[in-house]
Amino acid sequence: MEIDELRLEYQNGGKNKSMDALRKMGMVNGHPVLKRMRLQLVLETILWSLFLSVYYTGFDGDQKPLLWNVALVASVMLLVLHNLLGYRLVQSPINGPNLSESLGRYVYRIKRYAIISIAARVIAIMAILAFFASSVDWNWTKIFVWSIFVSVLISVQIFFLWKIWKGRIGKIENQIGSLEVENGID
Amino acid sequence: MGMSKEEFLVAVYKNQGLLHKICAIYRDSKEDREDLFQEIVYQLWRSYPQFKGRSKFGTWMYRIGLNTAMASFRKRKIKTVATERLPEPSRAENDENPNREKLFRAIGQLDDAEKAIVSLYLDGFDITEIAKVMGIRKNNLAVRLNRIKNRLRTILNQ
Repeated sequence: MEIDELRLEYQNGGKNKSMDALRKMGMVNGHPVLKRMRLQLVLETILWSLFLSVYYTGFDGDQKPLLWNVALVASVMLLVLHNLLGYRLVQSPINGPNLSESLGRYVYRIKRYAIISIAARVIAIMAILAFFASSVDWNWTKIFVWSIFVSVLISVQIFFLWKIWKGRIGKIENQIGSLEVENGID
Repeated sequence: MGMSKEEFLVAVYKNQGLLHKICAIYRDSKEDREDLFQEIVYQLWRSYPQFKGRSKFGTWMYRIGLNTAMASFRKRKIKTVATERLPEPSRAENDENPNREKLFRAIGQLDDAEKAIVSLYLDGFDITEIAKVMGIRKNNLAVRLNRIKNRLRTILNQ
């Protein structure tokens, strides 16, 4: 089978969508990944807002120093902000005038976001734990147990989050690598 | 001068065949292809204010489509097992043209950058246009294209 003979058959492929369907796909609801992300973002924001509305009396926020209250609220806001940044990242994969440049810039943005994402989660976990631990009457045994618990929790978080991001970054870097081979850069 | 929204919609409508082809070679299941099609059309709408008519509309659409296909995060990945021979297609996925279907499945075995090059080539783009869309040198592209054609020929003749 000759490849050039198949060009015509290739060019004839494809089924039609209506103009109305194409118009609707231009709206943000037409993007399946963004639609799911937006739903998750709204749900998480509602849940965090509910938590913030009850924590002050429900979890003795009124009896803790102002610093811990500020740390807790700031960490929750950091998580919501981090979700918004992730949404913006997925929303804009086109970053240059050709595939090589666009993917190169995109992977740079993903790496930067991966660091922000992991840092935001670690900071939030630490702030939330610190808030709840601030009223504990500490002794050396408790400090030792808490240190182990926090270290394991944060290490596991970092490990799994980095694994997820490594997979995503690796996929795009492989594509860039393939383009660079074509450019004779290797 | 830029296009109006209606002119843009008509142009996408007329050229949508190329988007279906990108979806067919970059995604395996019908559901994933539908999702990718919607993602690409969304990106076309987002990018259309930047389209100034310096390149052909089809070339621009191809660039946005391929970029979206290569950059998007899939929600799940079904593990596939590589075999020496092409698997037999399921009846539900049968194209009305068996040669075309066989070609699409053969292209599906290439890596993502090779898929982009060969789809542009098969759709009638010349080396200069392909190099511009991909952002790679013409000489290297010509060598690579020959290698891809040889590989495709081998797969198709198995």
